[in-house]
Amino acid sequence: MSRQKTVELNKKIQQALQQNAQRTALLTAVKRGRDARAKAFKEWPGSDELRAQVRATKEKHIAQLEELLTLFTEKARKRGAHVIFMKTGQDACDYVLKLAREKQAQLITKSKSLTTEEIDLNRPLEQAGLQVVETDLGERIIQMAGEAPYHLVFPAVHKTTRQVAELFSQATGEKVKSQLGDIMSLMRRSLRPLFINADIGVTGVNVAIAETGAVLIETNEGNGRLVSSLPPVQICIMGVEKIVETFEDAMQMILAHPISAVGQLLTTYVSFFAGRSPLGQNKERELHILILDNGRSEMRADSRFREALYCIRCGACMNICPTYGVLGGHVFGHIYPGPIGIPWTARVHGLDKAAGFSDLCISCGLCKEICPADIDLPMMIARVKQEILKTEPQSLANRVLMANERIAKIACATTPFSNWLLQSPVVKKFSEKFLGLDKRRNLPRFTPTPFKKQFQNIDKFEDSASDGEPRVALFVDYFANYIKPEIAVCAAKIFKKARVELVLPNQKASGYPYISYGEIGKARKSAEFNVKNLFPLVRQGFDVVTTEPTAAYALKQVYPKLLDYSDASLSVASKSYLFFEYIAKLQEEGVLLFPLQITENRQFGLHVSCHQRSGESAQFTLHFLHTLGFEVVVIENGTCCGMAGTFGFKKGPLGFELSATVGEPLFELFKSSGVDAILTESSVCRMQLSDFVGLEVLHPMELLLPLSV
Amino acid sequence: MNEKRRQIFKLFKKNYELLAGKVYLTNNPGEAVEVLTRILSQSKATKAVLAPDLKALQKEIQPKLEGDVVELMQLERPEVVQRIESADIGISLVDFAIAETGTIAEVTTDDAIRLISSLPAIHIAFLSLSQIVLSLNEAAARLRKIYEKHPENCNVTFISGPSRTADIEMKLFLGVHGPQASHVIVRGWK
Repeated sequence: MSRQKTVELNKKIQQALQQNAQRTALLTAVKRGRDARAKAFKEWPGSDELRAQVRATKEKHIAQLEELLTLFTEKARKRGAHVIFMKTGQDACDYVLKLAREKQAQLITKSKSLTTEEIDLNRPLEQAGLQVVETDLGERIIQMAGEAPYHLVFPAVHKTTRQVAELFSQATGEKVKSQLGDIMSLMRRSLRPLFINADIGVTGVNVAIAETGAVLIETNEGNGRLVSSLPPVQICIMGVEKIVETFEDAMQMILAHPISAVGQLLTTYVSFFAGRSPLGQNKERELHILILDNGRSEMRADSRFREALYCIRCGACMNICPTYGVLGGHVFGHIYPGPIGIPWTARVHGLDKAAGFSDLCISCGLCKEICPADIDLPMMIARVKQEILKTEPQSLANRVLMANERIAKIACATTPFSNWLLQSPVVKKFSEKFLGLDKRRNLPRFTPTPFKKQFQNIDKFEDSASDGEPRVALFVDYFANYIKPEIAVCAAKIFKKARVELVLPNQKASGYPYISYGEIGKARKSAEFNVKNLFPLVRQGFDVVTTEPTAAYALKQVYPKLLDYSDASLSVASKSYLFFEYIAKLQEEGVLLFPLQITENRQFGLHVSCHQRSGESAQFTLHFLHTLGFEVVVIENGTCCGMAGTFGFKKGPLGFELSATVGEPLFELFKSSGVDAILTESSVCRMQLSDFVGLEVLHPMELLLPLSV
Repeated sequence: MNEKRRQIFKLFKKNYELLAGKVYLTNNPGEAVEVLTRILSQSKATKAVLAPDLKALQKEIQPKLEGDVVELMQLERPEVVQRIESADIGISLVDFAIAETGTIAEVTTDDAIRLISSLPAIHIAFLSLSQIVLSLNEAAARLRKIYEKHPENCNVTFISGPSRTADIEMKLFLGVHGPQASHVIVRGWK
């Protein structure tokens, strides 16, 4: 990101972080959205398969896009609709304006449509003297305020009742009390004549059904029904990606959409349009369906961005994104807000627009886990960042943070001098000023003897395993090697107790930070190196085990993608485990015998890192600790602690300050929980919680250190 | 009513009422009229509009109402929009319902009928018990048949309770543009 863009973004973040009321409103909204979704997913009988089904449906239909659109067009035209392809947003705007002039239209009503926001349809119409009225309450509010949507599903969630009352009073000239009922009554009364007198009604399209030539829209308020039924001319504007083949597919979409967005089974009104119906005596009525490309064909042709077309616009990624949740769509977005906004903006509005907020993605990966179409957003966003890097150099802070393994090697070799140096206020001040690393961070102390150097002297189970017996290749990653080798030592102890053969293959750290900073090439090199060294062992029957959640995430989910799903990468992925997940597997196979006697009186709160959520591997950690008699409860608020890799080390709003704000609700939960100490498997979450909660933070392995072998 | 049908009805009623709608099962035409007149008289409404395919009802209910006007909509008459807009209650027929989501499905080939269920503050729908399907997948099959029957214009609307919004401070409000109350009278007889 260019220096100027960084400065602008930092300024915007700083402003957003100061608006406490707005931030609280947003946090409440997104939390309610994801809690309601979680509850509905638990209750709906088919929810386990829903994401896989939606994914399969979208993959199939985007693959068959041309055929389906051809079929749709033919069917819709037979029903009397005008169906027109629009290459660009400009083409679509021109069409609507021309039609409005032909019909001598003066008033246009609209129901909520992000696609019309994408092409900025209102502006040319208003410039031509037409009155354009948004009729969805949230959209109406931001239209009156002259703003862009703050959230995809709740566009005006940042406005208070009082602010909305003022906006309505100004717009209608009628004084309204700042009470919900009064505002709604005025809204209803003031919009009725507009609905009735509109010359043209414009809607988006949520789903287009090829088999019958029908489109559908979903609205909760019922405004979509009035926009589509009253005016003599109806225009529906749809992106090409809205096409599905059958009614069954459409049912899947109308369920997936609201259940992911707000935990609702169906949107209150789902209106199917096929042809245009008369209205009593008025028979000369028209339906125009505009099928918009606007960059979508290029997305489809590019295997790196094709997945973006699977987006069903539910907004769930916004409800879980840690940085979006404190900043909102005016900072985290151009027109398309939130995580999905980054690739969409890059492709539809240009890379420079995406560069204005792409650095807000901290690669926590939560959006991928909640997405109803299982879109790999973190990887797609990394690719946007990679493209941006072709035009602008990587910031120094990012480069320093990515070089951490080289720094660690030197630091470990030069302890205690290096630790003294790194902790010294002068050096911290220097590195803040010249490297962009925040001096308020407590840096971890490097060990003089990294695990890799200790390994050959460690007492381990050396007998080579016979066929079928478990053998482990330890993937030690960064923290358990350079900073807390005790963690890896303890893992070795437990493997010895379980009589599991243990080897330490040649390896580099996982390289996941490269993904965060868009250095896909470097990430691929780390992946190649590690897979090259692990694969021969996997082929001999070794399992790969790590104590670091991000490393497990990289091995299982990221490496195959980086290496184009090579056999070796898939093979390594299928045999990679996070430590306690592996212990559960051993126990299931009857290998590991308990009890392991440890006395411990403290109560612990367990923090589950973002990269652990996908595999739900924390359940194994919890189970193991409970089996040993430890008192442990999971403490979480459904999003991130704010550190997200190395992001929180950077100085300024886009770094330390944002990181601290994101974590605030979680810090408060820990502080009020009454636990004596915190457990977490992630080394970076550990630093964050240790800096902000004021309790001791440990890797669960450290509790097992007293274990005698 | 067989057991399966009873279960499906119970699920539909439960889900529709979770969404702030009201569902009444009636066993004969007399009961249906009774429920309808009760809703009308409790609503303090002064005018109701009735969809053309419910013509038979007008004679039944008009004498039971004091001073209230029930207008049978004749779609070919002028000012159909204003007539519906001036009513407090719209009464219409829906074709089927989906139990697992709590949804009624209205099928129309004239937009005036859609207005009966969207302009007035109260909507009352008549539904046949035998037309409640269990799942969205069964609904898909129904839709296919409906659209095959109507090769030109046809609108289907799934309605799941009254109109709602939470756009201001996430506070739920019913009846923002559409009805604030949504009643379904289920005809349990043949």
